[in-house]
Amino acid sequence: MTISLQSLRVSMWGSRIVLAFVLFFCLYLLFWATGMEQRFRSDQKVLQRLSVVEHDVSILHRAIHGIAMSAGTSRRIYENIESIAPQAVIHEPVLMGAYRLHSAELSVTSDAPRAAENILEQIQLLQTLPIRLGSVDVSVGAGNRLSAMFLLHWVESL
Amino acid sequence: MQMNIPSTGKVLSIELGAGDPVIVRSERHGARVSWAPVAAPDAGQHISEEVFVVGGLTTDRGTSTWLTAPLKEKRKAREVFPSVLDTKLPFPLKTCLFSLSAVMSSARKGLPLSASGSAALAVVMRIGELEQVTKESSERIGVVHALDHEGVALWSGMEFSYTDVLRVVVWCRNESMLIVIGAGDVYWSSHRVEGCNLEDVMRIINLQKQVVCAGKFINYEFDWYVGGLDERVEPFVRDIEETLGKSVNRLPDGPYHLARMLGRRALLPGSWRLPYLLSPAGESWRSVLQKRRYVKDILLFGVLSLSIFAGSLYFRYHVESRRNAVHSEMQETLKNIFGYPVNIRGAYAVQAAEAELVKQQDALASFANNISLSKIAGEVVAGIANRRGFLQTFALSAPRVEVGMWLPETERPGFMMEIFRDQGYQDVRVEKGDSVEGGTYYSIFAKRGAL
Repeated sequence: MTISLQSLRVSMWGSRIVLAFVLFFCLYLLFWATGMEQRFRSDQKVLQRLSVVEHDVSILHRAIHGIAMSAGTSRRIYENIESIAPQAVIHEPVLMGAYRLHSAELSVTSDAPRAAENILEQIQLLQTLPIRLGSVDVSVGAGNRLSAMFLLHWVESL
Repeated sequence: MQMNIPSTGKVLSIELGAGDPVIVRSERHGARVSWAPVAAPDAGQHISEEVFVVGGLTTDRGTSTWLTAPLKEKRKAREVFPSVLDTKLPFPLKTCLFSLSAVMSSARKGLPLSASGSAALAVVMRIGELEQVTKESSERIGVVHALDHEGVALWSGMEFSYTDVLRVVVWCRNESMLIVIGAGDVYWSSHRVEGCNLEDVMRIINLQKQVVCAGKFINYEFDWYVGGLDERVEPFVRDIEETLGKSVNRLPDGPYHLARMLGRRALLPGSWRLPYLLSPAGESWRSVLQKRRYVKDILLFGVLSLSIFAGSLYFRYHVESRRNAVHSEMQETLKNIFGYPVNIRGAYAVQAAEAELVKQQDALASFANNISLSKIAGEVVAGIANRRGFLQTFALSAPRVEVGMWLPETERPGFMMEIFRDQGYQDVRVEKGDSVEGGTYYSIFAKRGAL
């Protein structure tokens, strides 16, 4: 085989420099690809941790699955609360996976001596509805005036 | 030092000093060299583009000589040695071809020199002699690419190690002998002697002993090494043993040893390698080989670069598609956690997800473990009312409860503690307050463990 260098029209050193640049570029690509592999592995670790969180969330949601109600029932709850306590504050529902958590704040004030009975009545009324009491806050104000705040929750299935 | 010919791994080596040329074909396989004798008429068949043809330079066509310069710097000494050589020759150096060995310190043990500084071995032949040799070879054998001094080749093939002993290597031919003399592992000189007479050999040896380094080695004994044509070797060896009473070391491979050493030097690195004296055919052969090597290097380089480029692109594509799959799965998982699409990536996604989990756990605490806060609230309020007490403050949630109440002197807050303990609250504490109007204020605190 005979090949004339002149026919290639490059000098020996010129072609070596070009080839060195090409090799350097290729090695750069290789290192870049290696860097991507490392990022992929770290993404996998993040996914693993997210999967653990997802599992915990699913356990949480399974606990409320049996008591989640339909949209129609949820609307009726709203109407019942408004009829029992027109001054109730209805909060924006919070989305939780396939469920929606509704909250309502009910405030009741009562003068002694019927304060305790009034509170009891309210509580008994609430127990008729398929809702959960999130918290109760009762305090005595001026003139032994009892103020109670009830935070109610119910879960709607989407 | 490297020989100046790129090796193809195949050599045809020719002992030109013998009456009929002795030819050996050698081939390198890794660190091994295989060889086989070749008949002179068949030599042409073994010559090809891949085969390097090297001939032995006889002592009557060329010469070897030691050069010294009072310079410790070897690179500078190397530049000076051609001028030193020019002064030693009876004809101009420009009418000759020469090659130099690696430069060494003059203090090296065994050198046939007493000057200090640097030293090198030179091999010289006249251009006219080269033309004559190549012409004769092409008529009898074919092209010869280069010449290698046969005395140096014979010596280097012995692979001596240094000891304080002189050595003489005798190569017996039909009508002459090649004598190579040295000390330890250092080559001194080569000589041609007509016939196979021990006396002639001894005369050369004794002269060398007297002359070299002003007789420094005069009392040294010689070790003998003899090889060549069997019919000449046997009587010569007997002569040495009977006359001098010395034992003789036989060189292997019979009449092919010298040709074999010429081939071995072309294929393997070792001591006493000098650049070849190249014939015009050798020059163009080397040039073609170098060009071919260069093109092969460029192609290899190009293939390597392309492979790395293609591999990188594929790897990138492969990794990116896997990454995209992982990202899709992450988006799906986050959607399951939050309930709606969330575009967060990396470690922040985990933080956000864990925060969402805690938020949901807090929000759904009242639904966990079938806790009924309304039942607890009812029991607390009823319990206080039944005991004719008063509720002052009451903060109830799934994780904790605080009650402030007034009870008459006849009543105790134990019922409250039982209510909370029954409902799973732990760490129930009671703080007794002031006694007022026939009763006492109590504060009760309780916490629940993990829901």
